[in-house]
Amino acid sequence: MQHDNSIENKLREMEAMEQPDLSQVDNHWQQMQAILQPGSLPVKKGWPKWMLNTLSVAALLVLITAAVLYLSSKNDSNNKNGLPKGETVAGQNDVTPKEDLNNNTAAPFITDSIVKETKAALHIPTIDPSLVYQNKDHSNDDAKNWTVGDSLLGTMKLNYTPCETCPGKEDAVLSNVERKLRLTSLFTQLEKREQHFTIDNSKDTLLQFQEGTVVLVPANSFGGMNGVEFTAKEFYKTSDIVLNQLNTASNKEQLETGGMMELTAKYKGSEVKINDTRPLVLFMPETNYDMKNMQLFFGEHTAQSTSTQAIQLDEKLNGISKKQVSNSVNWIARPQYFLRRKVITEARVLNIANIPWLVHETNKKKVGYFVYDEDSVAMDKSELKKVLKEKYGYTKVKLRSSIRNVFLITYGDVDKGLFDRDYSEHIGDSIWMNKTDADRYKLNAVSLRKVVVDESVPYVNTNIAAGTRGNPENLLMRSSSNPLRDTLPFTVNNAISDINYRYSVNLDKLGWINCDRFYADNRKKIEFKVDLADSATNYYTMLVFDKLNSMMTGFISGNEVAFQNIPIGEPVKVISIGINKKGETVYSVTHTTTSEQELRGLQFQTTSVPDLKASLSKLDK
Amino acid sequence: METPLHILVQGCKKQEMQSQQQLYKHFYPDMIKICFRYGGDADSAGSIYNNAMLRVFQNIHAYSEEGKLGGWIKAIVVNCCIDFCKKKNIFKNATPYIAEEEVVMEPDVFDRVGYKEVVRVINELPGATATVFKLFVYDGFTHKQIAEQLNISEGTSKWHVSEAKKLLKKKFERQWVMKKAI
Repeated sequence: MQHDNSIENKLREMEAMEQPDLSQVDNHWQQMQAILQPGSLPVKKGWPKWMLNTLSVAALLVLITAAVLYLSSKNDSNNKNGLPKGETVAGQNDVTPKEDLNNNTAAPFITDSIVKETKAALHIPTIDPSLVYQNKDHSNDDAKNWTVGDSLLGTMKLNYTPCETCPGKEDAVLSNVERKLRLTSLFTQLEKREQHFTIDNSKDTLLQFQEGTVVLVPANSFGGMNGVEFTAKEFYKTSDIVLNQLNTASNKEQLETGGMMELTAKYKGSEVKINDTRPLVLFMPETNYDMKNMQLFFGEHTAQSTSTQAIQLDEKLNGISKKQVSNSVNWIARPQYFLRRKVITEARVLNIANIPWLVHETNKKKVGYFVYDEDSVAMDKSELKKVLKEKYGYTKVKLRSSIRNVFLITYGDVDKGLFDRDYSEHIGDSIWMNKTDADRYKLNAVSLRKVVVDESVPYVNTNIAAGTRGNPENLLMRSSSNPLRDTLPFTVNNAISDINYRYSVNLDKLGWINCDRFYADNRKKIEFKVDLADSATNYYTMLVFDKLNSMMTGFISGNEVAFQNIPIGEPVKVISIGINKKGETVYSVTHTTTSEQELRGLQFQTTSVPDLKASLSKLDK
Repeated sequence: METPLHILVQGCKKQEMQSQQQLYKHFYPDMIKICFRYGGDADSAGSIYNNAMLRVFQNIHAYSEEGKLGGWIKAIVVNCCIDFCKKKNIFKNATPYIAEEEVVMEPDVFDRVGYKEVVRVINELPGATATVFKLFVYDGFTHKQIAEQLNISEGTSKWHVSEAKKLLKKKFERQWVMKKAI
């Protein structure tokens, strides 16, 4: 079955890669245009046209018949040698305009034969302005082709066909609306495919994506539901970022990126949010870029993105003159940094640290008061006291249950509800600690687990931090079989050992995510302008920096694209992808250095979707 | 927010020829591929697409679902493709379904030939088999949907897909052997 799905996928993939044959589009449209002549589409309100026509004819027939009968009866009375009634009526019926009836009846469904017939039919189609535009230069040459019997459509075809090869072909401009639609369609085809996972959120899940992104989805982060659909798109390569119209700018400030992605999670078709207390962990793949000081950014779609700009029909032929920003996502910084993390193994051992809540000491005796959890003490109470006395030199050890709140410590104003509470460290609990330390003190572990910890923070178990003061020598531990609650946020299995020392960040929401840092540069900032020699709204133009992993989009004004706040003297590539006046997909990659001088003379070449992908993949570092 | 397509749809509702032209040409590249798949040649593909677009223009006043225009037009195009195939009477002799073993084909087979060759070979399959195979593989129809659309049984639909795979396997493997021999 897997084989069959692969075959189907392969066939679909092959078809998706294939470019459609557009050579017949104009011919087909001409046929369509003939079909669409007034009368072929239904009249929304009132009586159908054919019915009105039929009724009109019927009414006319009744009138004529009545008139004939009247005349006939008059003739009968005045001239006994007149024609018989039936003959006269039949004669009137014969002149009924059958052709008119047929012509006035709208065809509800057009069959193949009708489509073919329309080429020679005596219909007058609405003239396509683009054809008229083409024809005007050759009106004299083609005048001789007009004959009385030709249909207008037939003549238009005669006029139109020679233009395929004539020198004036380049004048056959497409409207701006059509070019923009084609540009939108082009980028739709270039969109990166999503990767899908269906997960059971009742347990921890580790998702590894094709380009190396790893996402740890802790249990219950999406409500613990089974069947959560998780999708991701990864954008690490320059070509992917360019072809998906992304950029590295935050409110016009330049960023350097370590990678972008779009993550979504849905359950039964509806988006699900992340439980605040169970954040996801995003691990970036290893890259060549310096990941230090990389910050978390969330993307917000700008209202004026090229692909969703409202284009008014009155702008069809004139282009858009007002300034427009062409980037589609603006990145908003979050106060979270990507940290290098590692996975460590923890062992669960018994905590018998010297963490008394109170020590009552006199010349003769030293009494230690310890808090303990009755449910979790593994050993007998008297045995525990004995161990503590021997280990730490107490003359007497007193154990107090935390349930009684005897040793409750409160902070803040309880009356106002602004308080925090803490308990003295319990003794006798089992705790998770670094297995290396457990081994060092020869402590028997009752169970093991893997946890993710920040590399920059020295490993300290949260349970023992207060008591140990960083001095592990104070610990005396023994194995315990008590199953206690986990205190660290999540556990992971052995499969993630390969993500050790990757940079990661906690995610409390999904969407467009970027690992970036602001690009600090003291050089003079300029506005770098590029003249495309064509309406720039029909192109997607981007500045790709050679030395940085940074891509900027600009502001469009007429034929110009202006990139603002750009450091001077920076080697860049200007990449422009668009639809030219002939409707062809074109692109240009121009190597240059940013300066105050406007860049002109971009060399565009025609391309196809696969070729464009292949060409731009050469930019990937 | 008004998108270009939204504006075109409004124009089409007013029966403006220019909007109709823009919409026609906008969807042409994607849809003509589907029409070509069923029509087999440019003329037939054009006829199918024109039939489909006429239905679109006739019914566009009733269209209100934002953002699903492409899907709606595709559904009409596929229906027109099915009508086209039905007109050829290719389904008049329903083939009884006989359960067979699944035909196993390695996807690598297709790496050795181009897309055009694959389309040519699929179009050489018996008409009904080719149509069912295309609906199942390319247009994502289930056997149940195919059965309803074509007035055949689900079993027959499964048989056609299985038969198509069997024939394709035979043809491609033969070609591969011949190419190797050359």
